[in-house]
Amino acid sequence: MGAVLSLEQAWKLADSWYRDRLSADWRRRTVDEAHDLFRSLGLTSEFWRLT
Amino acid sequence: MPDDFKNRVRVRLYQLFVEVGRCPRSAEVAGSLQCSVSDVTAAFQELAAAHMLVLQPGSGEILMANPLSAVPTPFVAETQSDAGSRSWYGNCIWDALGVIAMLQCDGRVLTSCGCCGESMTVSVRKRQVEAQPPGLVHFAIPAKRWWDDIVFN
Repeated sequence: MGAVLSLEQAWKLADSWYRDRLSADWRRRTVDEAHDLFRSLGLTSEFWRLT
Repeated sequence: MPDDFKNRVRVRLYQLFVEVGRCPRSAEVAGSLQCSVSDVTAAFQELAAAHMLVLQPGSGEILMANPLSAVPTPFVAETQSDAGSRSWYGNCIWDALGVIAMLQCDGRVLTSCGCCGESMTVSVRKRQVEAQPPGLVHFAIPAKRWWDDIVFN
């Protein structure tokens, strides 16, 4: 059950997701933007669908 | 409430969290922005409703300013610099690595294996990650259910 990521995938996910969080320009990703990010990291299964 | 004010509250909250090394209370954010506590708590509530913060259920103070946790967790994100060692709590391994990513520095996560409890250190050096002992990252909750119970997740 669930999803298993390599350490490298988890780091890239954390880096992509949070790198700009301190910026005043940061805004919450849209669902499509989040899906694009997951896809870019190879996270394409149903598990990573937000809707 | 204007989006610009909410963003100022959000940014100042994160700045204080990083600078001080612990989560600021609403009164501290208000003092820093020279505005009322009620305005800050209202901003917290609207940001939480938009899934940009998570609040403590009783006090309304911050519980999570992801990736940072206001309360102790099993995921300690530690950074090292010429100024010395500093640490914060992450909400999970994703968030603990996210603290290091957000601060854009080298660091390590002090945690333990979710299966057997073995002590683990996940190091990030020059954007390369390594765990000792080696490991994988398990996500239990599907993405569409993350916000059903974000604290459990």
